[in-house]
Amino acid sequence: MSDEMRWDEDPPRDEALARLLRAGDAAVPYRTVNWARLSTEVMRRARAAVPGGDWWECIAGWGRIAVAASVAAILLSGLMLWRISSMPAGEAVGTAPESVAIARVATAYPVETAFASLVRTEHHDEFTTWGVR
Amino acid sequence: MVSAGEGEDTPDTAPVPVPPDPDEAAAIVRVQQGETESFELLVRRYMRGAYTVASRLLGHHQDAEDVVQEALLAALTNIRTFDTSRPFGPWLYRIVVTRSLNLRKSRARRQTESIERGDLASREPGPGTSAERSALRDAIREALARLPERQRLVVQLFELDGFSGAEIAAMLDIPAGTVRWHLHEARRALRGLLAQFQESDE
Repeated sequence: MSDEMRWDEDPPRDEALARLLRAGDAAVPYRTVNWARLSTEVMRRARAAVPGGDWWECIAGWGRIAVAASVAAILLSGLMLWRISSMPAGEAVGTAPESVAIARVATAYPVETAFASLVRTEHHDEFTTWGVR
Repeated sequence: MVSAGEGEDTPDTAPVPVPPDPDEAAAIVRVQQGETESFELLVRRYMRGAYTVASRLLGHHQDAEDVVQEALLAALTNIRTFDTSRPFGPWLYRIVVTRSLNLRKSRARRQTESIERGDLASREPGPGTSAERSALRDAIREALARLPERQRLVVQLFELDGFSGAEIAAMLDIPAGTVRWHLHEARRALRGLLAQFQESDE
């Protein structure tokens, strides 16, 4: 057990002292540790503790599909806008069946009659059985 | 540097110092970028050393294992603050020391069962009869118990566990010269306390 000490570098290990300590009371109980289970458990908790990583990986996985869907949606929207803008004014509204029916009634009869007809129709729709009246 | 998990098939030997792994820094960078799976390399490499430090401080197997888990997760959580130009081991061991001391403080009143330290000694061939071996164990335990805790920890980590003075300094957050002074004092004290056994040992 020599003990020539220098403070700027580590001394050589004292094998005699180490042997003595090992014979007595100094062993770390490595055998009691299941190392594979320990690393598995740490990694399981690590994955749960860093949701950002999983979230990012999930987003990255869907990235290409999201880009393709976005491009398709933009093209479809553009096409619809082009079709609407190319129609004559009022045509888009006028082509709907309900709008056509109302327009016919409103233009064929005086306003009061047309209004009363529409209101009455609504009333009858609500309180009478179809086809009876 | 002290490796952790590579020697799983030699469970009763102390951690073996290994040269720094060039893949380690790359793995740390990947973890910092959010690739959690790369953390496994660090876990496998350092869990054994972390367990050694925790076990020395806590003297209790299950507590030591719990601290290793908590320290590794804390390291992962704070990995973005880690300077990749520095070695990972001492940084992790410093976390282990802090967590171990906190746990010990919080469980100061708890009666901790002793780890199976006598087990290894009983398997090793020793001089003389079992009564003599028992006397030797008692004397060594008593000698270690009489050391100031920092000296005891330094001499165990250096002589038995293969840590360097610089690594011990980093984990205890003290200068390396102070570590060597503690080692010097611990050796001197143990030499005096165990003089009779040293003579028969040599």
